[in-house]
Amino acid sequence: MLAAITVAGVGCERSASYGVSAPVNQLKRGEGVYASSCLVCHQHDGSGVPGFQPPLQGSSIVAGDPDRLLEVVIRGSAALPEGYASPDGEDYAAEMPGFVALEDDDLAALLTYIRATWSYEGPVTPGQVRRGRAKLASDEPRPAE
Amino acid sequence: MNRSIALSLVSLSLVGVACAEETLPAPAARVTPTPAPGNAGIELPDGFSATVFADDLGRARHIAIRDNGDAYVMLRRARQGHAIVALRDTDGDGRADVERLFGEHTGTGVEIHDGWLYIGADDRVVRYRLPDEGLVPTEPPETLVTGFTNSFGHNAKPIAFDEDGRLYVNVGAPSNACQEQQRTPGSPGQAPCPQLEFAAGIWRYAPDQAGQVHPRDGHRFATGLRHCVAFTWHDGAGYAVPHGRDQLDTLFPDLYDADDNAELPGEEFHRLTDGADAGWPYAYWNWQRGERIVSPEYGGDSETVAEPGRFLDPIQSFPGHWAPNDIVFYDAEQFPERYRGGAFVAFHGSWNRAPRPQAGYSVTFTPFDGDAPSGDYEVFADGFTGSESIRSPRQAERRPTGLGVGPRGHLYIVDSVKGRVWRVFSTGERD
Repeated sequence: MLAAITVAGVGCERSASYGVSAPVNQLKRGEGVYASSCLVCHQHDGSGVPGFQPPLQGSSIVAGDPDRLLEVVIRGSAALPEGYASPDGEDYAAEMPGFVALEDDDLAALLTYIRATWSYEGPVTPGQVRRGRAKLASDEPRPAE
Repeated sequence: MNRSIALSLVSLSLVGVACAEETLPAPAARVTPTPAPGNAGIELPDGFSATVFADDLGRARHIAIRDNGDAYVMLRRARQGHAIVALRDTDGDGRADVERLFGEHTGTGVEIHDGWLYIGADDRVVRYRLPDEGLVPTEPPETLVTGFTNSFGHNAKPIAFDEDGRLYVNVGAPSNACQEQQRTPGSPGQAPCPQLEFAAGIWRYAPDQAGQVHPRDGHRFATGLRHCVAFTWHDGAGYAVPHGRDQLDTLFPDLYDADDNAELPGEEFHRLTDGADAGWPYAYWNWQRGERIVSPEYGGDSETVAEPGRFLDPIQSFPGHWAPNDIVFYDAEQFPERYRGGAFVAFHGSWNRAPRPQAGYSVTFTPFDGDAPSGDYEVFADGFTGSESIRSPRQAERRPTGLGVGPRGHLYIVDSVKGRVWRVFSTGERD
């Protein structure tokens, strides 16, 4: 927490889209992770693809609890409930893979970038990701003994 | 009250949900379409014009046109609880003035065969008996084929009939490239790909037998076809332009970059006979080299060529990710001679070219001599996006997704964004 505040105090810029303060290096790193892992499906402007991938613009998951956003990124569309209502009420049929292989720092940067660009929410720290990931792992159904 | 106001009032009163056994004015015996200003937003070759046959139909997909000019458009998303729009032009101006909604199973495929309206809904194939005079079926549908599994974005079920009246159904692949882990970087392909047993191909069914279950009761006519939204039958063979695989660069960044992925693989144009195998997911077509390349999920390194003769070569190829969504052969006589026997293909337009600009979003024409192209394809209808260049598909104002040729030889083009249907005609026409 202290580290985050310190970084935010010395190296912040306002998001190009929405004016949320976040560490510059984290935003740039997050933009890179978005470009390599997310952009092709959710598009450069977060508008998604009609019929396939939902928009990030206006998404309650993007704007909501970062732990929930982390869960969707890590588990993919398997984390969405049956009959999940997308932001615009349309049906999106494509299956989203889980990005569990991304490291904590990359996930934190990615979540920070997504929230700053398509919501009004603040940064996510690697510590938050580490704790969220551990909680998700402990929630996984255990194999029968 | 002048005539046009009177007609529009009549039209308004005739739009709505189908009522049982209503009496409608007959389809116009003579049709004289008037060009819409600016061809209603599309660019056409010299000598052609367009009018708006119908507009604002909803999430429209394919179209079927009856011998009397009545048209049926499938919806991907139900409108007022209904999946099919029936359209009739009663005054002969080339525009539908009666619009009726019916049917409950949404999807893409629609064909008219032997007095029946066949529907390729996303999860089943059904048929309605068409009334002799009426526009809307009065009997409930008969369910012919069920048992299709969710194909995650590749659910569209275009249908076609051969000369013997047998029914063909496209069943799209439930994946991008049959990876062990769906769309996950570096994940290898399943070998053999189990999805080929029930999907990624064209299946043949009886056209008149209720209760058939996929794939148990069908015959796998052609395989290795990822998803053939553009599929038809013509002169003894199936013709398909499947959607090629996505994400070469993001799944295998050591082998491909964003420029490679924007153009590869080609969208392949195939002539299909019984037993054909076009190679998905094991290989893809590199249209720039004219070679079939082993997929990276199956050990390919972007250069290695697939075993010669193992898979079908395309008869033509288009650039990557254009998303071919319908095909129709032109066997009528209203268009000039050079169009006869050739194929129009509607391209819905790309999304997978990102971060490069998107492409496609047009209707092409390929001239044919017999069963093979006699020349390169050309863009026939363009301007659907409303701007010079777009970076994401949602920026497109219109997206061509359905094609049909009516009894007067006019070409119908269906837009999927808001549901406009253009009626394109040669301006040398005399009705």
